Amino acid sequence: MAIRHPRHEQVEVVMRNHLDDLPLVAQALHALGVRRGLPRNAVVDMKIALDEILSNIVKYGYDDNRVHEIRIRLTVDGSAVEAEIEDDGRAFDPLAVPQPSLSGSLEERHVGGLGMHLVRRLMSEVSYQRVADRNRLVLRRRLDRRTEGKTNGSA
Amino acid sequence: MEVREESVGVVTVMGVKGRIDSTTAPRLGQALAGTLAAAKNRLVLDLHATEYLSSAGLRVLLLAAKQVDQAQGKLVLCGLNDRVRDVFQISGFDSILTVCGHRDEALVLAAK
Repeated sequence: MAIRHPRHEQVEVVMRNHLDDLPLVAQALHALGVRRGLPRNAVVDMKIALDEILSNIVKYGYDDNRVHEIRIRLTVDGSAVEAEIEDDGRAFDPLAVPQPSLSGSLEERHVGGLGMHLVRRLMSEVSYQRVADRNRLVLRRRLDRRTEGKTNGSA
Repeated sequence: MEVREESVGVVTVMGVKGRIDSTTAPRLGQALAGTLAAAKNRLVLDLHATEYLSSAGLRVLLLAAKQVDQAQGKLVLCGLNDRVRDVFQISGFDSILTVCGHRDEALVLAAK
């Protein structure tokens, strides 16, 4: 007799392009994290990254007034938690957003570009593809990474 | 996300419970705006019950900090957990916002 605990689990969430749906994704990720006993830091970093990416898609991805679906596939394998986000909004590559100014006086600061900067720093890998009029973004966060002001490898 | 406000002498303490992200940051922004509009500009923002924040949260804090600065008030944050500290450090906010470990320290700084 064998009891298997697969190290691999996948959850798919489909949301509408509306900010009200964002908490659904955070909840699904939270539940996955509890089930798999994921390190808190990895789950929180992924929650932040998803908030950045999904809010951008909702706010800037479309210029019609229609409902669009955004698909988020969450995967845990032995070493990482991964989110694949697919949407049919306008082409947007988070990796192409320039790094904002991170110094200067209070008056000089603004938040433009900070969201994508956080994504690139909190995730272990980020990769983007534009495939058949869809954006496909993969966020990968290693479970064993210590964040002590590290710079990440990028995709 | 819940915001609680109380007065401690000349200082207004606002405690934020939960996460500060795209869904919840607007309400925090409204709470801060209301407090500042009432000329309560010696503020401690107690984040010990704040699980994490995203750039939506940073935006709200930056706006409040600028308004407090213009009003020649004080804004001091306390109780940051390691996730919040990381985000502050990554975004360079640790050099433009006043952060303390404990609420008592923050109250003293905000009252000065």
